[in-house]
Amino acid sequence: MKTYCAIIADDEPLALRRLEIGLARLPDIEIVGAARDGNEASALIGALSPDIVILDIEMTGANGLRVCETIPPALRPAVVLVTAHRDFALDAFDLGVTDYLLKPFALSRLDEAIARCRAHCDRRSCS
Amino acid sequence: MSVTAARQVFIFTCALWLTEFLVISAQDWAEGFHRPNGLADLGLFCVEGMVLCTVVGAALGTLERRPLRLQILVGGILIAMALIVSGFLADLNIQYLPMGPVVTTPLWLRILVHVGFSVWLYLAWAAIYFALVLNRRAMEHARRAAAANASALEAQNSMLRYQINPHFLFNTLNGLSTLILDGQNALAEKVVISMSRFMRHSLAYAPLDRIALRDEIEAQELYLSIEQVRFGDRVTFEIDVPGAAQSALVPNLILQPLVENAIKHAVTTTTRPVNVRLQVRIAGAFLELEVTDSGGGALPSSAGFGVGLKNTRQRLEALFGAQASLDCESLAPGFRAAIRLPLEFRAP
Repeated sequence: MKTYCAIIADDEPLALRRLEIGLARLPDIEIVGAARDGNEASALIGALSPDIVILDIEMTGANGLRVCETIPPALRPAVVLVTAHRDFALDAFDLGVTDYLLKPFALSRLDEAIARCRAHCDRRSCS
Repeated sequence: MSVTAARQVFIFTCALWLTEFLVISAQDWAEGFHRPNGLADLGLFCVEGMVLCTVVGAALGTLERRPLRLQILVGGILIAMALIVSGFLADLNIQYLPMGPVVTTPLWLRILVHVGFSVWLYLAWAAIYFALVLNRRAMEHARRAAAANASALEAQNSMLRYQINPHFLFNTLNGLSTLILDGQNALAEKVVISMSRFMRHSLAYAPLDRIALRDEIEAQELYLSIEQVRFGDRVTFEIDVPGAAQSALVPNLILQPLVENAIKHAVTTTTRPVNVRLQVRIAGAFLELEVTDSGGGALPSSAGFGVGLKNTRQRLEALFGAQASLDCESLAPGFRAAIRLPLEFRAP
């Protein structure tokens, strides 16, 4: 089975924990790094070249949208933004993210986002 | 005095003296009376009166912002002086116009006759002048009251937003669902109870209602304890309220924007643990409420920061006028916001 490497970032420990619990249910997803602020997330992405990045928008340091902009184009990971704000949706789609989750999200909705990420990664490896 | 007000005074002054001229000449005509110099002495009398009143009006205009009593006192003196001057001028007109009568009565008596003739006109002028002043004041007062009302309403509307901050609500629910998934039932239970009590505080009172400080502090304590669950070891808080201030009255959730700002900015500017300190002091006839955080300082550009402080200012302004204030400063590191408002207790 193909596995996908994921990096998750949120400045709230409980929100991070929720992502961990959610992704642990999916055998093909491996969390390779968890960041608690934006700068740490950028560093991890640069160092680990993940397939999937799940970012909170409102974070210490660089916010999720900024982190998204700093991802080197060559990596092209699938990006999922997570936020309690509905207002960021347009910005998020401008950045070409794969999915956008509103907190609190149901785990089934997370599964849906991950399915889109898998599709994104598979397309990427074909091209 | 504003240009409109000055024009108003000039117009009614001209109108008054023109009316005087027309009424007296009509009266002459009706009575078949012919003045020795035609209408020249009457015309001169009216023009002089108009000039004198305009001068008095301009002088009084400079006192527009001063107390009404002072304006009336100065107005009375100026009008009396103008009246005497007009008496002298009228006497000169009559003596020096070519067909003037031969004058035999003493000067003071002649002046007295002129003054007696024109005193009502000058009093009427003063009455109209002060009626206009009072009218302007009433209009200004109404305008200011309307502005205060509008700002109170605006503060009320923006306050409604604070009653349930959706961002806070959804992030807390997100954390709560994690606690449930994670089987941390006791903590989940605690968050649900804290959240319910905090929401009750927000919903039980109208935005401009005043509540006892102890209730306000309880609401902030609940809020901070929920944020502590969300941010874990990154947030600590201290609350220091003297016993004597516990039952003082404060506007409901007046501290909410400040505490929210402290959390938001402390937590978004630094990854090290931040302390939020809420301190209350009684300073003479005032109550001082101070929120300090040890975060990375203010981000003036960040959205929502200025809005919270602006709302707080508006609410204080609407409730207390100039009696209350909100002062903010950046610390190194951190931020401090302090509210000062009149110390009041509920009437027993």
